[in-house]
Formats: sequence, C-alpha cells, structure tokens
Amino acid sequence: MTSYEARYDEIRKHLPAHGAIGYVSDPKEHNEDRFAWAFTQYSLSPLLVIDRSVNPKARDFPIVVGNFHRAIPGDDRMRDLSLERDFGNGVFLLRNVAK
Amino acid sequence: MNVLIAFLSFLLPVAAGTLLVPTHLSGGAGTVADRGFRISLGAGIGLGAGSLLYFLLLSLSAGVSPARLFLFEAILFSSLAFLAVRYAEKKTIEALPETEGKAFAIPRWALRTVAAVFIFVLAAAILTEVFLTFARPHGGWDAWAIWNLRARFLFRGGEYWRDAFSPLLAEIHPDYPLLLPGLVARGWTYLGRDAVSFPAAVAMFYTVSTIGVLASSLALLRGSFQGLLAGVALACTPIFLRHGASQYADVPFGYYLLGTFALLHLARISRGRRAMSLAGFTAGLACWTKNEGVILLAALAAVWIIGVLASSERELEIRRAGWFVLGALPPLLALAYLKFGLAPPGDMTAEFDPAAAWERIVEPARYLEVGAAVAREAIFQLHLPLIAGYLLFSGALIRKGERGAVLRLWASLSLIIAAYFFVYVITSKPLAWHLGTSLSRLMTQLFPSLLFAFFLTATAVTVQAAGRRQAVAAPEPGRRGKSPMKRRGGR
Repeated sequence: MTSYEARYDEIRKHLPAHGAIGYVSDPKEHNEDRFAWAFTQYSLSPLLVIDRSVNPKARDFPIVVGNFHRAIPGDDRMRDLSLERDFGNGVFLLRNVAK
Repeated sequence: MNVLIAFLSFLLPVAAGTLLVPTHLSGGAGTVADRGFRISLGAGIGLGAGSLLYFLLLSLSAGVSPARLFLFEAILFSSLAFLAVRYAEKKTIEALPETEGKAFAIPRWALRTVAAVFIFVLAAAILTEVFLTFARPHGGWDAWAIWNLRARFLFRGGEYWRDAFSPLLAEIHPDYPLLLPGLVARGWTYLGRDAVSFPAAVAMFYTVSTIGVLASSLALLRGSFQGLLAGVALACTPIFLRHGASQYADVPFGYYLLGTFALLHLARISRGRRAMSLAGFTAGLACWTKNEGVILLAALAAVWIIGVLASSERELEIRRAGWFVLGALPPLLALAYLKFGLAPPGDMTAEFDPAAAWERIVEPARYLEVGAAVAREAIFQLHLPLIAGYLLFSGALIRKGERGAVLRLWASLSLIIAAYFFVYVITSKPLAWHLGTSLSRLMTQLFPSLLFAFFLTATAVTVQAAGRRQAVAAPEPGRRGKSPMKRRGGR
C-alpha cells in the first residue's frame, strides 16, 4: 500500500486540492479493478476520484487520472481523453478534450 | 515526540471517561476487577465522546486546528473529570449485590493458575495484534477503502470535509457512522499528519479493551475465575484478533455492544438510574460506530416493551428507560445530523424492493444457506461448542435476583442474531458473496456479548477460603442443568 501511494506522489502536485476528478484504468479482473480504484481514491483523498467505467458522471470531469498496469487501452474508456503527462509506473495525467 | 502527542491525545478523554464511569455506577469494592472495569469501559466511553466532540467542532467550523481542538477538549473533559472527582468524594460506597445460591468452590492455586494463563494469553494477543499490524499497516480492505479513507477526508479536507459524504462515493458507503473515522481524524489533527500508526493504535486499544471489559465485568458479577476464563476464551479466538487488527469498525462496535449489556445488567440488578444513562450513551456510541446499532436499539426496545407489559413496576421501568434515552441522545443526535443532513441514503435502503424481498423470504434454500454459514462460523471460527460444553459441564445457575436481567440479555442477543439472519435472507446482493464478505465480522461483533451471556448463565465459581473446607450444598430443587462437578456452597 505504501509503495502504491508513492506512485501518486508526483501527480498529486498537478491535481486540484479538492473537488472531483475522473479515473480511468486498463481492464482487469473485476475485483482487481476495484482494488486499484480504491487504492487510488485512498491515496488521492480528499479528492473525489470517480471511475469513468462505473459512474457516467465521471465523463464530465476535465481532469482524469490514468492508472494503467499493463497497457493504455484503446477502447471506449479513453474516448475524449488526451494524454497530458506520464509520471511513470503507469500513472498518467489526462485531460477531457470534450470539456 | 509523535508517540507522546498520540499518547496525550488519548489521555484526556480516557482520564475523563475513567473518572466519570464510577459516578454512574454503584460503588465498587476497589478490587482489581472493579478498577479494570472502570478503566477499560471508561476509556472507550471517553474516546467515543472525543469522536463526537471532533464531529461537533467540524460541523460548527471549517476545519479543526490542534490548538482549538485541545482548548475545547481540555475545557470539556477537565470539567467532566472535576465533576466526577467531586461527586466521587461525596459518594457512599455500596457493594455490588451479594452472591446467593450455589457456586463451585475452587482452591486458590487454581485461580492463580487461571490468572497467570490470562496474563500470558493477553500478552500473546497484544503481540499477535502487533505482528498483524506490521503485516498490514493500513489494515484490511474496508479499513482503507471506508473507515480510514473517511478519516482522511475529515482530516485532509479542510473546509471541504463534507466531500466525504458525496453521493459520487456511493460505492464506499458515505452513510456509514463516524465514530472510528472521527476518532482517527482527531488523533491525526493532534499529530499534524495522517500517520498510519494511529488507526492501528486505535484498533489495538479496542481489541484489548474488549477483553478487559468482558473479563472485569464478569469478575465483578460472577467472580474472578469466571471473568478470567471468559477473557482467556476471547483472547484465544484468532478471528477476533484478526478483525481487531484489520482496523474495521466491528470490534469497536462489539466493544460498545458489550459495554451496553454489562451496564444494563449492572443497572438492572442495582436499580441504578445513572448506570441506565451510561448504558444509553454506550448504545448511542454503538450506533455512532456502525449501522447495526439501530438493530441493537430495536432489540432493546422490543425486549423492554415485553418487560414493561409483564412488569408490576411499569412506572419505574418507564423512568429508567427515560434515563437510557437521555444518555443515548448526544450520539443519536450526531447520527441524525449525519444521516439526514450530510449523507445520501444507504445502499441497503436505496436498493430495497419489497416485492423482490418477499420472493426471497419465501425461498427455503436461502434459510438453509444462511443457517449453514452461521453454523460453520460458530463452530469453526468462534468455537461456540467449547463454550456450550463448559456450560454443560458447570451447569446453568442464574442468581435469583438476576434472572430477569439475564433473560433480557439473552432475549436481546437472540433478536439481534435473528435480525442479522433475516438481513441475509432478504439481501439483494448475491447471497454467497454477502455471507462471505460480512458474516464473520457480524459474528465477531456479537461474540464478546455472547461470552458475557454464557458466563452469566453458568454456575458461579468462588475461591475456597484458606484452610477451611466448605460444606457441599444440596442442588436447588427443580433446577435444571446440574453439573457433574461437585457443587459447593459459595460462601
């Protein structure tokens, strides 16, 4: 958990102090997916980290955190997203170009 | 330095709670059991009050600074401590009701042996908690996904702390009560950072204090041997220790549940109205810990109504219930504000569909599945057959003046178990998944109170007076559950 949190140390400096941001990840087994999202939410709190694949409202948020363990998916998950910065270890800052 | 600050942040509410509890109980004899009960229960009551105060300060302002928190707490807790000390000076010490009826007499060396075993097992339990915490410093899934996450929102959120209850976080239950997150955020506020060690220390506190409340309350009511034996039984239960170190809210909830039952028992046998108000406060803190607290209140209310209908002292019963409600009010008001003013509706209520629930109610297979899971948990995790075996061996013998109180305790626990069972029967979630992820925790919540009820029902054990043989007492006519052990006069 501690090392997982450390992955977000750099990106945290580029995120707002509060409010809601989107979250996108590569497809995983269901439980693994929820673990990855919950770890990210825990690491980045008090930001509200809303998973775009679970909550459609998350597609409205201009800033999105990418948490990819294998590869950046090419499917619907990435629609309207442009890559802003790669922080290494699979952590990306993305922007919602539709907003 | 941090350890010192964390320790001091514990000390103020713990000291106030420990001083305050005696003023709400019939005076004790100043024995180890008496002091143990007052410290282990008073500490949790004080910390529960600390969580409530933190939430109150947050609600009244945008963020809480350590200085403001300390000032507020110092004024309140030292006033309470001062009043407690003043009151205690004037208080006439009365002994707890005398033991009557039969009891086993054991030689003093047997008591010393059990005391040594208790100390050894307690030390081993604390070490186990430390090792488990090192293995998972952030606790289990629910600890960081729900309880400590919410504490982070309260601590890190500043003026945006209410984001913790955003409907966007519906997946992680923003409606859950705040005793644990409030307590952890309070400690972090004093520390100035969200140290991983603090929620671990809180978890350890509740685990050890639950053992303390169980052992000391039974030692007060049934003698040291029974109390120590119950403490050993709880401290030797691996699933209790595992859930304790997981930093979930189930062990703290079990602690307040046990505290409520112990205080209600003391209040019923001593007819103390202050003990009733303290029982109300611990029941309220149980509600402030987990949503299951509502089931506790409903069970207590149902048993109380039946008791009032059957009682010849209705006016007294109603007055005592008034004291209970008065004690429960502060945490219940905080809970009402959380539920109706801050958080979205819980998933269980939001997803409830009466027609679908009815279909599940009339499906016998669900009852069998839940029953089998409960039996597996009771046998293989909580080892209840061992406890039942002890009861069979010692025989059941409830003291005359306490029969009503013990009966009410068993009735309340049975209703809570029935309610938990029924929740599984009607759950809209996949049953196997729901049982697999929560049954063990729910049974762990109830286990300390079940042990309390078991040992109150078992025949009391007293220590033989030195150099004096006790007369063998004849079994009371018509008494069931006679023991194969030789029953002796208790005093």
